[in-house]
Amino acid sequence: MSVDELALLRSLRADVGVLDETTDQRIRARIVAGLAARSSGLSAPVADGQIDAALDATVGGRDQDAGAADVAPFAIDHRTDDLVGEDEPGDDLLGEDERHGPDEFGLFAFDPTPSEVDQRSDTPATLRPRRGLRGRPRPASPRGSAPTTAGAGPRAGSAAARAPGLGDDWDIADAHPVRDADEPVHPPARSGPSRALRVIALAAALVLLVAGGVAITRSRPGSGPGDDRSSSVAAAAAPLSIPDLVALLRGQPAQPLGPGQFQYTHQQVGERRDTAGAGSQGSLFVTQDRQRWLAADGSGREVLGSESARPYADPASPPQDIGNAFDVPLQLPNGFAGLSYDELQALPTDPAALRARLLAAPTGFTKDLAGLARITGELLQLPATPPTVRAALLTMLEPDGLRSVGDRTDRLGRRGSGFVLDEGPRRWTYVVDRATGRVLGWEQRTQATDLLESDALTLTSPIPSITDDTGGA
Amino acid sequence: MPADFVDPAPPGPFSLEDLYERHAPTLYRYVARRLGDDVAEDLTAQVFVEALAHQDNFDPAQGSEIAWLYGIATNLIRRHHRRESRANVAHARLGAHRAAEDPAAPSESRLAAEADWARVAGVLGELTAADRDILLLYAWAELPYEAIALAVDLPIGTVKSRLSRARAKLRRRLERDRFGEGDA
Repeated sequence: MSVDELALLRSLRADVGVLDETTDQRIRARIVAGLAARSSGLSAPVADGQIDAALDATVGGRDQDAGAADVAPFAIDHRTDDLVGEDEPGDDLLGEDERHGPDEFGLFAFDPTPSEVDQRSDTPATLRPRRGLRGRPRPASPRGSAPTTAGAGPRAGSAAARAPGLGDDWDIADAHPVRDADEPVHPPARSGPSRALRVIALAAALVLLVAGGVAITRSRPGSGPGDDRSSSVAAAAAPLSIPDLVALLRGQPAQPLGPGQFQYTHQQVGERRDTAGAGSQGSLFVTQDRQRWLAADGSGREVLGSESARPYADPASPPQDIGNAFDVPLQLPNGFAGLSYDELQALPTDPAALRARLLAAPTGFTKDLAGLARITGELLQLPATPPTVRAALLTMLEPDGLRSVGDRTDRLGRRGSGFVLDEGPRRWTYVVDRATGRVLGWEQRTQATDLLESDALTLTSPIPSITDDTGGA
Repeated sequence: MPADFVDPAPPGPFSLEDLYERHAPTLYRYVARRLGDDVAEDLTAQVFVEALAHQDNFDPAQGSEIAWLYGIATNLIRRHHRRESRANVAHARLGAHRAAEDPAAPSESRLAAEADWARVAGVLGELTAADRDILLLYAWAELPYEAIALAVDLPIGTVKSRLSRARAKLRRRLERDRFGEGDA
């Protein structure tokens, strides 16, 4: 699924550049020598010998490595003039739709020029490639049964344009993939009723997410008890413990992806984006509806709705459509949380081995507890993840402090058992459907502020299913 | 006496000691992540030398001193890259340097992290200098947008859009880079 590029980048080379005492002394010596050279009118570089001599006198010895020998005279213009014109024109690999960059951030900054904001959400036909993705109009999947780009999925502009924000009147039925009469192939849309995820509907307060989708009846906070069978279950059942959940998962049959089948996920992803500096002032809460069909070979299709933004501090304010919808064919052999389908199926079911495997896999997640917490959230949601692996994920995180915390409600108002993992300053919360053991939603928050983590994918909750090939058109 | 700064600092609004105490650790860390420890030592010193030498040009009304320092550092890093002729050379050298000084046998997760870094460094090398600076000032130096805008001397809106673009490129490359690996 998605890659958290910012978290990964921040984790890289994080152990480099600790200013120890020796280095501190050497830098100070260089500064002193440099300033002395300046004030004496010399533009000559400070030679390492000078530094070493100075250090010999004070620190009592020189470090082994004299540092960079390439010290040249400087005439630095600190006004950074030489940045101007530095941009190469060939830099536009991603920027063909340049308009969206400034636009979206104009909004994030609450730029008082609202004309910059894309307001085309009311024109259903304008689902367009997201900035940087060259979406082809038709899928180029090698599989004849791949979902098509046009027609299937949410009707352009219906689910997408209404980009369901929290509390929106989101009619999930609208998100059904719709088959056009002239579709050459069937959309991998409907799952059997026996596989449909039952939506638990209760209103409450805490955490997560959103999703809607296939073969699901509409379900919103406060919807009636006739909605599905789970309200009574939810009301009566005790919270799941980790051993309960592990046992439940171990008893479930695996659902391998057969030929012509797709793993279908339908999520609403929410994210806090800071517009300037830290804190919630100026933060936006941005949600996006995402659907993905993925076959074992990585072919498939992705339909993203328009992003919908509102001030983080003001959840009641009307959301603004900020674009970025697209509908593209996929070719992601490693689209299963960064793993190939075969790798996913081969994940160890022993917790320790699983941890080692995940830490060694080039999945795009950070190689630490945060990365494990996140990939756990993703893997727990993927329908193709073997139940035994799900169970192992939970057991794996238990020593790290994963614990059951009783009932929680996701952002769709679905009640489930909450599991929490504190990781440094962050708290990860997973909401699990008590009946199926599936993760309904998860998110990460900064404990101190109870704010959603900035720049992190915070909420997801697919309605997952394996969709059958009905035999072709 | 290199351990403190009494004499050479020219008169001006800055106390070198204050400036250094406040910013040297983070600045050094940022430069070291970009260029490696050995280069960072010299370059960090140069930042302070330049800052002090030109302190009369610093206008507090125009922005924070941290943005000013990182602006100087950004210029020096670019200059360094130009000397290196290619950023990738520096990255490759970094990898060698790190491996050499790593005493313990690398763990699997360390190897994976290094593989991730190799991939990310490749993408970073494809960004323009300005986009790379913006991305790393944001991700590594953790400067707010306003400070980045001052440091790279671009309008804040441009900084935001370029940051978004750089992140999107990195994300997509990371997702796509594994094409075919699973089949191999």
